[in-house]
Amino acid sequence: MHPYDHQPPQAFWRKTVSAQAWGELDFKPATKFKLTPALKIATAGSCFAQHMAKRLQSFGLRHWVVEQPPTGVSPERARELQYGVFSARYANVYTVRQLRQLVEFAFGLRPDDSLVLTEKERFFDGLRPRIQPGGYDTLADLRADRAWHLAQVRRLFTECDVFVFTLGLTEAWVEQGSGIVFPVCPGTAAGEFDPARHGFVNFEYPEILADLEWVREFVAGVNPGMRWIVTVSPVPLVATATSDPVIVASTYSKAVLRAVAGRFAQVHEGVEYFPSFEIISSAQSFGQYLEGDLREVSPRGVNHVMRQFAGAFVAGGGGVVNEARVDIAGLSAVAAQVECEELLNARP
Amino acid sequence: MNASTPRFSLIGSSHLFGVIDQYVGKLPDNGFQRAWDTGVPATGPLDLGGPPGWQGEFVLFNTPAAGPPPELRDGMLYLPEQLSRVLGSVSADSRCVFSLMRGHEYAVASLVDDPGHADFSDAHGQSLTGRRWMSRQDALGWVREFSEPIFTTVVALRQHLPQARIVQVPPPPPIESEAHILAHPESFGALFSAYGVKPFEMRLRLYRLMTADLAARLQPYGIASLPPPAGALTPAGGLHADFARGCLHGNHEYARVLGEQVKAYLNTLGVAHASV
Repeated sequence: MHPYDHQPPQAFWRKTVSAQAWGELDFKPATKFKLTPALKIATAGSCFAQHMAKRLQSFGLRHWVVEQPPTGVSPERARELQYGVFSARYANVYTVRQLRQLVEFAFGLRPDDSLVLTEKERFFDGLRPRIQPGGYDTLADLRADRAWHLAQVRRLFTECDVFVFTLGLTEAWVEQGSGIVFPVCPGTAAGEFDPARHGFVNFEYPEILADLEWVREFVAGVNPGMRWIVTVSPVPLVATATSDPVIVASTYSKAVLRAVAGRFAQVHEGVEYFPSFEIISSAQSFGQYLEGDLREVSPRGVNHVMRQFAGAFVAGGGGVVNEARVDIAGLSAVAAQVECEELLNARP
Repeated sequence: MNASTPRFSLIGSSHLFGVIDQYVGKLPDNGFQRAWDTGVPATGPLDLGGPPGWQGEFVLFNTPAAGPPPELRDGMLYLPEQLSRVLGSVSADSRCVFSLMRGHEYAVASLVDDPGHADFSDAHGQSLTGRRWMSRQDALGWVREFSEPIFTTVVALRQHLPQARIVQVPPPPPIESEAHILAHPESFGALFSAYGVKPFEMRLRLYRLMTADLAARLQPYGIASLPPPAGALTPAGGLHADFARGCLHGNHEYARVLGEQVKAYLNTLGVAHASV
């Protein structure tokens, strides 16, 4: 007798990975909690998180969009302004440091002298440079929109039941002095890059975990019942600012994030890890879910992830996505709309 | 009425009530009720006390009786028969027609503090702190959505009377006094109880955006627009409560200053225009 004798089949490679089709593997046999339609589920994270946000409703779950478009704005315009892409208009939150400073700004722990980028006499929110296409007319407009947005973020973390966060990147650009981290490098989405003012950082395991723990602890203070689902984006870096080849830098980044997410879920009862990254990026998937650029995840891959998500978290599977009924044209259109500022790093 | 005497007309619905109160009085033969019940406009002479050489008329109709608002699609105006009949009540020889038609769309969109509404900044001030924000561009899109029926209805009038000068008279600006509005809630009482009255600054911003945009869009059609009569306004630009009827309209005092505006406008035309 030895400890492995008592392990379930899922613990054995030959009984599962070697023996089953990739689409039949159960990546998440058990969860600490389930999701129900009554729960307010909020989402944030990198661009892959947008897929999660879009699909929750198809499982009968409630993607809680706390920041709603104003009356009189058409659905098309609302989409352009990124209403409903996530639960609030923070756009992509690629790094955990971004998440932390979002909470700090929202709860007044940082003075809201927010970063402003200017271009052709237009004003851009340095923390979400593409949230208002073409920028703001005035600095006062930017501040008014930001104040409303942060009030909604405050409400989100105070009231939501489950927060689904997708960790995306370790690399980021910061403003020297203040240490405020940008979502994308200044000069790509808006503004101009200033080497004296903008510095590169590649966050490491201890500080990422510390940031995530800080956010959890702070939010637990205002919303003790909030639970977390963390996942790691399987989408590689579009570009790296390190000296490594992008695939090496990407592997490092994802490995660190995967380790952080695993540790974070391991030590907290109210935190779950969901293996989006493994479903898409494992070598054993033979790259079947990658698009032609070997980076983007195909709609079929997203379907697989979300089918597993529903199977794991939704009682009764929650109306699992049926691939035969997938509207490819519609999904393609949706995929084409996924906002990913990180792509701007590769802009010529 | 002498056929050679130039004529001007005021056409409208509820925004014409104050004018009738001030200058006409009770309509004969229960004319108001008849117009409301039958959908056939009430018409009659309108004496503003000038200007010399002009004779006036009013055309009062019930807005729903004029059918759905016209639609302008690909440069073609589509208007319902009912509206054609209403416009047909304006004397064909009228040389200048002042339109007080519609305007309730603005009231519906702006009076109640709907939590879905957002504020925006304009040349007169910044959006209110703590309010949902929208860009001026998006605000304009929203304003156009609800003011489109005013625009198309006045363009329909222009089309119906191509020889006449057409002047758009916007609805009165928002009443500044919230106390007055709450004391005269009309049919909005339950909504005010639930959501309150939209802050005056927001109502005024919407009004200014709507009237400026309407004036700019009507101008290429040769349609002039009057500003709100200065004598009825508070220093901030709202409607003074003493000039208000209910929570939306101008009263007979408002009509008096509006009448002065109409006369002043006609004076700028001169009788020469009237005889064209």
